[in-house]
Amino acid sequence: MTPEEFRALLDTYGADLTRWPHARRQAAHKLLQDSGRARSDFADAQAFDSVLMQSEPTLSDTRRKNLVDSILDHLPDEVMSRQGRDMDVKSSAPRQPRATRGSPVAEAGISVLVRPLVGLWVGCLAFGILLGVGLYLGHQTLHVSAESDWVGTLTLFGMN
Amino acid sequence: MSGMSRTAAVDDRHATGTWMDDIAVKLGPGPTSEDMTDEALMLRVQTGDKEAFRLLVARHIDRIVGTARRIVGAAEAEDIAQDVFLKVWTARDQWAPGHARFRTWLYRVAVNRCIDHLRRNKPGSIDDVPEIEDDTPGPLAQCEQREDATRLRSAMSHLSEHQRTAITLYYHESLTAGEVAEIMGLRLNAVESLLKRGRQKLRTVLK
Repeated sequence: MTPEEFRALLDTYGADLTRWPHARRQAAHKLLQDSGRARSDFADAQAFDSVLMQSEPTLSDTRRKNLVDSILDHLPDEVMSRQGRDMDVKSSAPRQPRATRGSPVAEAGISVLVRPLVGLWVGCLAFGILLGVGLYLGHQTLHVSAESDWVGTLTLFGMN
Repeated sequence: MSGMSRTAAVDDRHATGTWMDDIAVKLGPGPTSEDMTDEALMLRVQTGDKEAFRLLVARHIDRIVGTARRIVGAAEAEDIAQDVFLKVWTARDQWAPGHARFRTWLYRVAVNRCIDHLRRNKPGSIDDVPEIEDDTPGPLAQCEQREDATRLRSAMSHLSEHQRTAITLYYHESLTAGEVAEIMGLRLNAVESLLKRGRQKLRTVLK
């Protein structure tokens, strides 16, 4: 194990070697025996671990009892609770990292989903307009030709 | 978390292989008692047993308040802990014995509530809220402990929400990187990266 790798593992897992990946522990112990620099880094990491592992002040007995009582007092009744159980499927599903600035969805919002469909929308609109115009013109042509046919027939029989 | 409860937490973790057996032994008929495992109590909670729920809440309330203090700040920690346990009650059917240990599931509910809170509220420094005074007349050591905790919380406000969550669960709650990954729904290497970057940043801030 190189000193750089040792420092990287200290940064990742802290100075408690029992929490390191099993395969790296023996090499770490060996390096600690051989390298004064590694021992110094290890001592620094141990001191920093103790800072990170500082305990939060515990609740006083009175505050804890009041909080527990308050939670029990606010439990929904069984009917409400059953509705809540049906609705509350998200409470234990892991939260995914938020879309960060720069990601396509965060930057463009819903438009990034709509944009690929713009061509389809325009195509449908154009087709609808053409269909409408076509039907209108077709109707007009039929009307005119029927009228002209009727006039032609009357003329033919000398009735006009 | 007190030193004693941290030790209990670590012991609890080492007992992973036996908790399902404990359920079988301790879930028999009879009154709900304090020596029942979390999982045995939770099975009773699923039947609507409020006394079992009271025991579970009392057992874990300090940890959940402590976790919430680290992730969202001291001012809202107790409200969040209250919401977490109400969610545990309403979503109690979602916990499946054998699928996840109760503690892992509880932390997942707590972390989700904290992240939802952070996302709903304007991002701000978690150290700029007043520390809630403990109503126990405390010795000097308790004041020092509170000051140290406030300083660390202040430094943690410089981390991203995911770095803060990973660091809190790993160092404050003594969970393994694998457990943190399970709770956060991330891959192990993603959690290792969060731990490494978070620790490096904290070291810079606390210098």
